[in-house]
Amino acid sequence: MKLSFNLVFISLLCFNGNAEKKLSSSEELFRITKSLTRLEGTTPTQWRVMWTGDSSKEATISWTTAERGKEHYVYFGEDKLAFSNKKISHRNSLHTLSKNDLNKKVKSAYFHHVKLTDLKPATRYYFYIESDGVKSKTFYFYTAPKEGTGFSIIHGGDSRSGLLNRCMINMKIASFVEKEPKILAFAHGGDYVVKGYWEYWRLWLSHHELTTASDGRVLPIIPTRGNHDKGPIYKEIFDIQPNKPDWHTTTLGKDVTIVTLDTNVAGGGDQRAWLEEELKKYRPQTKWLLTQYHRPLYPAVKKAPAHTKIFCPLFDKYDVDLACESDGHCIKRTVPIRDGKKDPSGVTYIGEGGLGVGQRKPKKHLWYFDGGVTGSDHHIMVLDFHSESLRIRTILLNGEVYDDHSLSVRKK
Amino acid sequence: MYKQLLAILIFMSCLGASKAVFFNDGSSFAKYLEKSKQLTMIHEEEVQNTMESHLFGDGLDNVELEEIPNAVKRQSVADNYFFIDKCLALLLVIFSTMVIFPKLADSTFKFGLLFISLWFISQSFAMMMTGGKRFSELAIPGHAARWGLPVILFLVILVKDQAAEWSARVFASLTFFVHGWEAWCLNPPFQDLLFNFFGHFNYTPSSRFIAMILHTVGVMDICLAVGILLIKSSKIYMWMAFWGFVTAFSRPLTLGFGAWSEFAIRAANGGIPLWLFLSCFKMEENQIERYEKMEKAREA
Repeated sequence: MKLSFNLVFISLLCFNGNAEKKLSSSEELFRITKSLTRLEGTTPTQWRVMWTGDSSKEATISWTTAERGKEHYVYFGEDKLAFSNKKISHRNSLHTLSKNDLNKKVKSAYFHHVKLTDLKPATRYYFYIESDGVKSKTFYFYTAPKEGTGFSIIHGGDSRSGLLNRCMINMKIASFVEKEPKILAFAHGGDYVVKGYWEYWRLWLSHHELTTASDGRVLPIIPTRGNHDKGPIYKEIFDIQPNKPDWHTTTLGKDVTIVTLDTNVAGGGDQRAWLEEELKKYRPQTKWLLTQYHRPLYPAVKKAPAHTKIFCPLFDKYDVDLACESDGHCIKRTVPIRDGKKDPSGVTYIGEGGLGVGQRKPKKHLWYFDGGVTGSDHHIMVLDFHSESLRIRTILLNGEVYDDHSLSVRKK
Repeated sequence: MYKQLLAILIFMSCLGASKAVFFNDGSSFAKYLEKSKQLTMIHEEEVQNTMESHLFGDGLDNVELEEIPNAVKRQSVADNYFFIDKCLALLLVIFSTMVIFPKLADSTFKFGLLFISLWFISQSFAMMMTGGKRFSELAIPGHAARWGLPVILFLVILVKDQAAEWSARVFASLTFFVHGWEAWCLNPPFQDLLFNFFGHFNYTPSSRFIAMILHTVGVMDICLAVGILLIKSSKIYMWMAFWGFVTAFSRPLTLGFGAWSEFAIRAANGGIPLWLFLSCFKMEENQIERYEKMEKAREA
């Protein structure tokens, strides 16, 4: 139940610039697999922390057990040796099985969620999980500051296939967090799995363990639903009530706000009204206003969805700084765009997803890349928030910085 | 019977479909094949099995992996797939152009129509297999008008008028039924088409209003789908033709005329009922002609 020495060893192997070759053998696959926690009994596995609200004072801790169990707790506190708080899980249930799962005789498992509230901003919280007396290793995460900048987040999307590459990217995230402790969260742009069946989700969840740093640091996920993440399991994993929409706003203190949208449902109507309300609420006071969603509004590979005509005018109206996208399986950064034209005061669109999935060729000749960047490689994007600038670094699997770009803060 | 009309509609569909191949990311079928090949090359299934075996106890243990080809080799495989995809799309355009000319359409080139039909079916099959889109599992019946149109022309060329007429009714019915079902289920892209349409008039409708429209459209489409099979009525054909073209045209209308291919690829949705509508009169004319000939013969 602990992150073994193997994991560190594999991390070292993977980032020596020849990762693919190293991982191609059965031995390497075996090593990775062995470093993951086996889903059995009430052993807490597939741990994760989620942010979908005010991340300076709230977080949800979730995990999976093979058996139902009776008592599921999270023990947490600021001191690594004295866990002053204990909270019982508020939601425990069996993951929904699809017809596909039933046909393949895939066994379901139990999810558990604990919502931590009234946390202190900019504080390291240690925690461990206990299910019927079986304890996890001790982990920790940081809450966001109440205000101010000087921290980073990782953005990426599309981890639905390319399982070995997905593991490597996850280990890359873990090693990156160790190197750059100011990284607070991991905004996932969606398409976690190829189909929204438990058969695929369970593997994604186990692979997500690899993003845990060797000292137990866990990066909270800011989730987005992708077009392949259909079905009820998405809501079960990220603790979203079945009758609630998947869009949400995550504030990282007063100065950074991420509005997450859902491009799998209609952009107009309720979602548009909600988006306008959120942007209106946050734009005056927040320094960095970001949006994230799955389908690209200025795509590098596919065609633009109908959402472009609905969301973009609102992004322009409320001066969104950065829009984080996925789905295209490539690397992109557009020029700033306003009203469908290049404009220095416009919104920059980045992303398109490379957390393991096979990469495609972007359409480099599009007008919005004239001054922007395109590419095809597995990557993460690191967003560094400063008081006067927002730095966007695209980091490849071998550690190479593919793109390093900064946005200046908007003049009020 | 109005072969040229069918041929022009096929040409439009092919042009619309080949735009994605030449100017976008390739056809659905090529992408599906390429993705499957890539996953085989990186031993996805074996990796999944090994991991499942250890983590969940239900996969196959100790799978031996072969060396994974490097990214350059994998990219060259992808390039080959997309090169073949472009060649097939070119053939699609060539065949669809040829059938516009009656002499060529009546020649051996008529078998090109079956190629076109197969090409369209393969796209629907790939969409169904790839998933990721709402109702993608209904892609084959939903696109029946698209892949059925060349079959109708083929039957017309073979002078199998009855078979052609019945095929047309079935293909149109399938497409209308699936679209009706999608509208009834409030398919998000349909909702956004309406939101964007009303947006042109600076009107922001509520989600409830859009739901009401789509439910109405859904019921209408399903009724038409059933009606076309049960009743042979020129009024039903006419309305379906009108509605089929309106819904196809709604794409470029709301997304801009850059989305002309979205209309072109759906030309068959209104085109098949239009052909049925025109054929009604043609068949009536033929019957009158035959009757007059018989009368003359009797008088003589």
